[in-house]
Amino acid sequence: MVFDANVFVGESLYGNSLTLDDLKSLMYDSGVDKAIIRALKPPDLDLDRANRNIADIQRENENLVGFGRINPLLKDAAIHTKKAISEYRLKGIHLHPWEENYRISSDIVDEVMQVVREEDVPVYVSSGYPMVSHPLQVQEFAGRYPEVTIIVTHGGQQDISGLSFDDALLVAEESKNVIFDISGVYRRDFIELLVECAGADRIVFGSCTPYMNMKFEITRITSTHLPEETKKRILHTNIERILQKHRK
Amino acid sequence: MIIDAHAHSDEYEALGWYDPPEKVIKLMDEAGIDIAVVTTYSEEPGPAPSLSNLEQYVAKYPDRLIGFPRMNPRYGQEAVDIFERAIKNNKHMRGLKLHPISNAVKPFAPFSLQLIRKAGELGVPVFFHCGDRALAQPFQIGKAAEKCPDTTIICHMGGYFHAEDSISVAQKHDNIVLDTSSTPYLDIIRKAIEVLGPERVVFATDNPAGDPISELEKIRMLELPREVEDRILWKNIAEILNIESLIHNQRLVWT
Repeated sequence: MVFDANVFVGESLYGNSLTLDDLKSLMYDSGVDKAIIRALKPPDLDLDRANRNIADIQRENENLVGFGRINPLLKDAAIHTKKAISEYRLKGIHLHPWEENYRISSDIVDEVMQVVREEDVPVYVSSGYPMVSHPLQVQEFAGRYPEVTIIVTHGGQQDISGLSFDDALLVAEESKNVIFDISGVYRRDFIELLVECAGADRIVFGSCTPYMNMKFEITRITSTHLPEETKKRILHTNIERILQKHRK
Repeated sequence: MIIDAHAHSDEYEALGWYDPPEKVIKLMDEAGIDIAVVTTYSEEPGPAPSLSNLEQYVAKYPDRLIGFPRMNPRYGQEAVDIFERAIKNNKHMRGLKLHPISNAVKPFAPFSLQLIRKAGELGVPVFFHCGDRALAQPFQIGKAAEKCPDTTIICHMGGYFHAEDSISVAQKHDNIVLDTSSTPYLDIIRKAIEVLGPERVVFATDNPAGDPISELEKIRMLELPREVEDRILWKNIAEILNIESLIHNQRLVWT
């Protein structure tokens, strides 16, 4: 069983659109059984319409779980958050500070996060982006919402120099409500250290498809020296547990 | 036959990074990599025994490891002189490593340029850390490549944020070669091969930081024609390092 917690789908402003049929083919070719899906940034910038599309896909495909994508900069962001969860029945919220241009540590996210807290759903944050979601910016954000489960992408950092690893490991040790996906993390030593610092229960598989390669991202996990039981937790049981915990 | 164009070995107390050559070789063996270019984490000159560590490692595994001394351009002529001696006095040393984020000297700064030009004079390539942070961005390295046209410069494929830039800059400068380590984007590697030609892409892992098994799998997943894959996995870097005649039974045999 492989559960990919980080997949984007739909039309994309950036030219990397992914249709549902394409996603199904990718999942089949990669051996992925289930996935959490959220909208790519749509060309018309209408995230509410994109969230409705995700809800439709979720309704018709029991192996796909939908998260709503919210831009906290928009005036009605809190209303759209509530709508995504209560009306569209999406199971979590995705924040992308890089593509929506805000700092995750800023109070601009507060109204959205109040709804997230009230509705008791997890929030997924695209992390490790320069200026907007460095590991310690994410920690500041996570510290304000200790009761919210926060899943971060890319092991919390993206920097091939390795100079952000220590920051991400601090988050792993100190911020117990933060879960890490390890999409794009090319360093096996960092993956193994992250498991050591966060614990095997706080790492999930997420591929960041279509930005990254679903099949190759699985290889990153299978080729580590981690115990098979730990790999199993990363590949599916951890994210299943998280979704179950927040299931209404 | 597989040659890794970029790996690390060092025992560097300041960063707490201890990767002796035995660890590197073990990971190479697991992945089926025959030979690797290794450089240190520490720089020469500097407080750590960077160059002497590297000399010990390549002396211990002469059939598997080739050394690229990692120099700190801040030391000006002293760095150039040490590098020149290292290359001239040790046949296992075949290139220069520059990591501008380590020493905060930009690729196109005069002190960097004199090291790069010296590498060209000595007939060895320069390997640049490239991508993600200021000081080591592709277009900065492009400025150095423009000013040092006689030196071959190998650099990462732009990390997470500068992948397209790395290809653009390599298109402008024929003396730039891109390595495949660290980039998570398989499509970028494919594009680099198509745009630059298979002669200008080399396989690398960043072992032991990067994972040799998955880095190799990344190349296999591209399903390249055999002759293209061979170029990338070993022929290109063997030609750049001028070691083809030294390879026998997938090992280096020094005469």
